[in-house]
Amino acid sequence: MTLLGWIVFSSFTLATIYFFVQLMRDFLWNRGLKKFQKTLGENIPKTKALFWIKRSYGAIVAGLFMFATVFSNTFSLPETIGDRVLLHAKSVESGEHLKQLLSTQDSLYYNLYSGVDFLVEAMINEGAPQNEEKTRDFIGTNNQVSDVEEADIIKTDGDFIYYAARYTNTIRVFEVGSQGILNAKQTIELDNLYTDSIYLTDDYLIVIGYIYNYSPYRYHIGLDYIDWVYPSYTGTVIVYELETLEIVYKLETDANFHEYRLIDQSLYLISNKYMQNDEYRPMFKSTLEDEVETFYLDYSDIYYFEGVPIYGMTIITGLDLETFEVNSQAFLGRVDHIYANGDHLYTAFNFYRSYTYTDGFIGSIYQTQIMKFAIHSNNATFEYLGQTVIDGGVQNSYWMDEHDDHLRVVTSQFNPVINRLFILKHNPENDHLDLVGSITNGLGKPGETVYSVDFQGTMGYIVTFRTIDPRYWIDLSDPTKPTILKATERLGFATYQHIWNEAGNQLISIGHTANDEGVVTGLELTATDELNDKEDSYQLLHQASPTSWMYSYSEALYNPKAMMISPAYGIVAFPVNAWNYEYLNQEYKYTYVSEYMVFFIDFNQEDENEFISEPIIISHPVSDNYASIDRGIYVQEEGETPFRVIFTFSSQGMVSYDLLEMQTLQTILF
Amino acid sequence: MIKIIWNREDFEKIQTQIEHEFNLQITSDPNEVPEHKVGLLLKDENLHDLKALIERLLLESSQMLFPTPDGYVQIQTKQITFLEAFGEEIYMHLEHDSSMLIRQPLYQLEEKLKLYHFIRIGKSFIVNIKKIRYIRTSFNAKLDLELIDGTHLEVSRSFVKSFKYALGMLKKEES
Repeated sequence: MTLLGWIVFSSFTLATIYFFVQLMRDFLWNRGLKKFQKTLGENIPKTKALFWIKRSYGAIVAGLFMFATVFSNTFSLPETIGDRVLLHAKSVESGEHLKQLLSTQDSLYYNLYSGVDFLVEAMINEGAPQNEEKTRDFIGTNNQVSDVEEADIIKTDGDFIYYAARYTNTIRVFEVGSQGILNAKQTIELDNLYTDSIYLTDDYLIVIGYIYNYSPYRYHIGLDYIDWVYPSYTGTVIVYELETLEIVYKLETDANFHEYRLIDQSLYLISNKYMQNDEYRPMFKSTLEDEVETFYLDYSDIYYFEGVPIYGMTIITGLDLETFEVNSQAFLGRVDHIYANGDHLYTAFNFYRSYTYTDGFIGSIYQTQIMKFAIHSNNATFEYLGQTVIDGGVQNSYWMDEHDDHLRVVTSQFNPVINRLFILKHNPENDHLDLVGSITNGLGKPGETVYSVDFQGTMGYIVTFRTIDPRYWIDLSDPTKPTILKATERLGFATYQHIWNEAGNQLISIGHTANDEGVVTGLELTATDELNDKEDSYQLLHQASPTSWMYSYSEALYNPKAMMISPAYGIVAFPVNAWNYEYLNQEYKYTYVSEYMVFFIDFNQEDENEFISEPIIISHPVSDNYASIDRGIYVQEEGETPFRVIFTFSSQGMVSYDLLEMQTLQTILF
Repeated sequence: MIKIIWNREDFEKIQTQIEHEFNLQITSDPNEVPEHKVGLLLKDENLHDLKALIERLLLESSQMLFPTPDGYVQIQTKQITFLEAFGEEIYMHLEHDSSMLIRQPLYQLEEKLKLYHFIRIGKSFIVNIKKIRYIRTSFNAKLDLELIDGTHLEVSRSFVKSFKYALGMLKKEES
């Protein structure tokens, strides 16, 4: 409590004591009076209750002020972490206080639905974690930041491939044998665990998923009631010993996992918990060597922010994969997107805040809360550093990037459409992210919203679209003065950009083609050499001929992890699902194809039209249930029996392609 | 057994209290007591209550003569709420908002009314304890008395102790 607080509190305390003592004296005097009058008999004047109410008024009011001084936290000293003053984050401390916050703090507005997660990229992803001792090499998950591993449904170490086919609750394990022949080794049955993603470390296979529980729920409509069940999720992490594929550790929690990042031996789980029942504290149940421990996060580790709506709580959990110790903190609000590098983690929470305009009209403002955490990947701990609220919404994790301790973040809003770029830096003295620089005008023509963002060192690349695709090249070398260098235009728009070279002037983009009215006409891969003003593209147009249409779609349009990309090997590959319609003999004939398209990229070609090679197309057998190819894996081996093979997986089977022989190598049906 | 014949009208005002405090038999038998009278029968074993009983009965019906500019006036002590001195003039305040000028020094009136539970609360005031509705304490160690007619009187600091003693809240040696 502050000095002023102590003075006010002491004053009210003294007043309370004085009035209380006076009240006691009144009581004793009047009791003596009545006792004496009683001995005299006849017509003892009655003491009315109102008298005591009036006399206790001072004690009650002073007492209430005394308690209000303490519990209102008006004079509380700001909380601190280390030598930093927490201006924004406040600890919830108790369940009662949390309930009070839920009833008083804005929680009525729903978050702007993120819509299609238009894609973007970040940095040069070397793709292939190099291992000097091995002759084998591979292209791994297309991570936003190198050294910060993202979870996916397929992982490989070059020797084995682990594939969590969607909807099957299994993990299929394959061994990559000599000459690239794949051998099915084992299928791990996960029973009631729905897989979301997997991780692979030197020692463990980590499966992250959900177990659905259905809880009975009764709600009233007038005098009537309806019995219902609502599904609740038990976020579950299962760690398997890689050698034996035996379970060594299990962590269950009552929150919904949202994102994950693996840095060294620290797995960070970022979850959203919705407070549906009376137990607001996040629950954790860990099982290590048959020893089960259940624990709850303490209220003192749950923080809130005034003015930030409470749609639930964001839970950051660090799991040390060496000791299996769990560290966790929660923050009321929610998480929509995260960005992490080896040092820091950022969360973005988009929300509408109610706002009263000067003319009395009540509206809402679309804003985003950005929180920053320091990550200590040596022991899976983390530390809340600060937060701020900025205008507009962050639609994708690739809209955030940290360079030289500065967070560059792009936001977009509708009605009216405004696109902004903010540069934020943590104030070391408190928990605020200070605004260092910004661009609030000039990003996008009228009505154009942001479709993809990329950052590379001191450069930023923002693509907006309504009828045409301006790509803004932004100089971020001076964080206080971000400058739009130029805007290049082409029809269509990129939903994902990948910087191909260190200099940041060669880009690979995937997106949509469009006509001059902004109508999408197909799918497109683009290779841009900005330095030499050259460009090549490969298009899958919707209408191939006057009587034939093809609607192509790729998961890579919204999920960068569906794209296999490696500048080191000059490979870009992604799955494409297409419906072909053909009008022949007055009737339509349609076919569904699922293909994996492999492109080789070479910016050194003289002819810009040869930057992108003709694709190698790997097809899977036509299936009854339109199973689509999920992912592709590239493995190569040098030596006496070298091979270069791309393995493609769908829930129906695996087809591999030999890049040396340029032919299909193997087909396995599950 | 002792029989006390008393005025019925006076007795009925305090009958409940008397029955509560004393072990009596009450009779209105016309063969034993005259009309408008009541008989109070006190057994021999309760004779020790006789003095207190007589005092109570006398107190209730006690009347006094007070000198006024217009001659002596007979007033029932239970009608007096408080007496107030303005220099040499003494005002006697009665129930129902009436008052009269008394030509008698306040100290003499204090002595005269002491038996009837009147107490001096200041240099200029004597109050009938039976007419006090509330006592309010205050920060300056004085007491504020609210009487049944709404009048507020202040007990001076130097008279608080004797007031306390009069209420039986202080033993004699302490006073």
